[in-house]
Amino acid sequence: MAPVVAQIASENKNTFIVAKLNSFNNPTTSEKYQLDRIGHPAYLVFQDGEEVERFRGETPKAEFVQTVLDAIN
Amino acid sequence: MKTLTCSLLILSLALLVSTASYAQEETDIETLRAADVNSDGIINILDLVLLASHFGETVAEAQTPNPDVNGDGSVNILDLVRVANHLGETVRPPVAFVSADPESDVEITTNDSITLTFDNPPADVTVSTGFAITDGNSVAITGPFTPGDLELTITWADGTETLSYTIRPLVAFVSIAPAIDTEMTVDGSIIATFDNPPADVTVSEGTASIDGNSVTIEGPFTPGALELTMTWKDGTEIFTYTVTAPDTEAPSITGGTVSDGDTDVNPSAAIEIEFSEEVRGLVTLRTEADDNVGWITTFDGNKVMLTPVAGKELDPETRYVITVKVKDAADNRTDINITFTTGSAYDGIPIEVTDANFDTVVIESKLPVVVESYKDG
Repeated sequence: MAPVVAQIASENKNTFIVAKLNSFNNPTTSEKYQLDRIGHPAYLVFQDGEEVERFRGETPKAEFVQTVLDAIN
Repeated sequence: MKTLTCSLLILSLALLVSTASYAQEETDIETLRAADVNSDGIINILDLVLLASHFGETVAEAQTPNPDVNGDGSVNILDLVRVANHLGETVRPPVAFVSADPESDVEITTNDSITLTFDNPPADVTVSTGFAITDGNSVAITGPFTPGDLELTITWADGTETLSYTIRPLVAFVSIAPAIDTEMTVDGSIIATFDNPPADVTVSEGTASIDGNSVTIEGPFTPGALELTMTWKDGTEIFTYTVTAPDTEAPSITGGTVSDGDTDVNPSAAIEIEFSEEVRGLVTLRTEADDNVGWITTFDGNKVMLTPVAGKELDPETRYVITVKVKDAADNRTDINITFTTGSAYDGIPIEVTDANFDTVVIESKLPVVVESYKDG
């Protein structure tokens, strides 16, 4: 999945930023957003400092991008 | 001897009349007036005496008093008989024209009326134009009269009078712009329209000027409720408005996505500037060297959008200036610059975030952020 996300990040760099968070090394943020509970990989969409969408698991590229775009537009 | 003869004649005639039965027939007014030799309104012995004093004389025409009652040129027994026949009768005096209101040779309107005054109630009044109504010593003549020159002939039982007038159309108010009960500015103007050119126009506020069928009333007017009275030769109209104070306040920036002094501005995002009121003018995104970047500027009411153009992206960590030269509907101008600095460029490679930088990278980001979680340790 990682190569696909990297590709999405590159193709949409003017629209949104893609970040990665290792919950093992960052328990505070992981706990705050309950990342271990929902399972990995999880995808959290933030806009203007607010979480506006979250989804998890394997997602086709087109559906991934559309989900993000729907969340931020 | 003449006096004695006349006295005898008068006496005999008086007796004749006094003993005769009164089978008076309708006599025309001119005959009665002629018999009233001394013109005192009553035919009596005094008229006979006055006539007798001229008995046998030849009378010139239009003599006053005129003892030639029958108008045959001499004073004789026939005149005595005519007076005697009407002894005791009263004679209506001739009715004379006194005045006209309005007087002759002035301008009146089609709907005006003319009032004639006589020294006594006139009879058999007719007029060449309009309608005549007699009331005592007065006669009211009403139109409508036809515009132009009028020669008005009035005929009554005792005479004729001719009056001249210039008839002008009655000027009626038609419309007003702007409509009443609306707002207008202190320096606004109002246009009143008539069906004909009005005359003698005055207004309670502002200045009126006539141009054909229109009257333009120009301010300045006093701010607040305005009750404007317009009077012209044929009428009065009142118009109400609310006069607003002049707009002297320049538009100001009240919001938007970029403020003066901002840093870390997303170089790829469109810029919106919000003003205190609707504006028009020029808003451009420029480099510090004052070169136009070439983004598209769109005005939408009180908002202005600067939209990125492909190939004209902003450089990261660079200062730019938005030059704002706008004005409102009242031409109040605002000239200001908004200077900002773009943030770091995002190269499209996912960013590793931690507890320490999560807020800086994710929460404070101008662009949306998708965080992928994983667990490796």
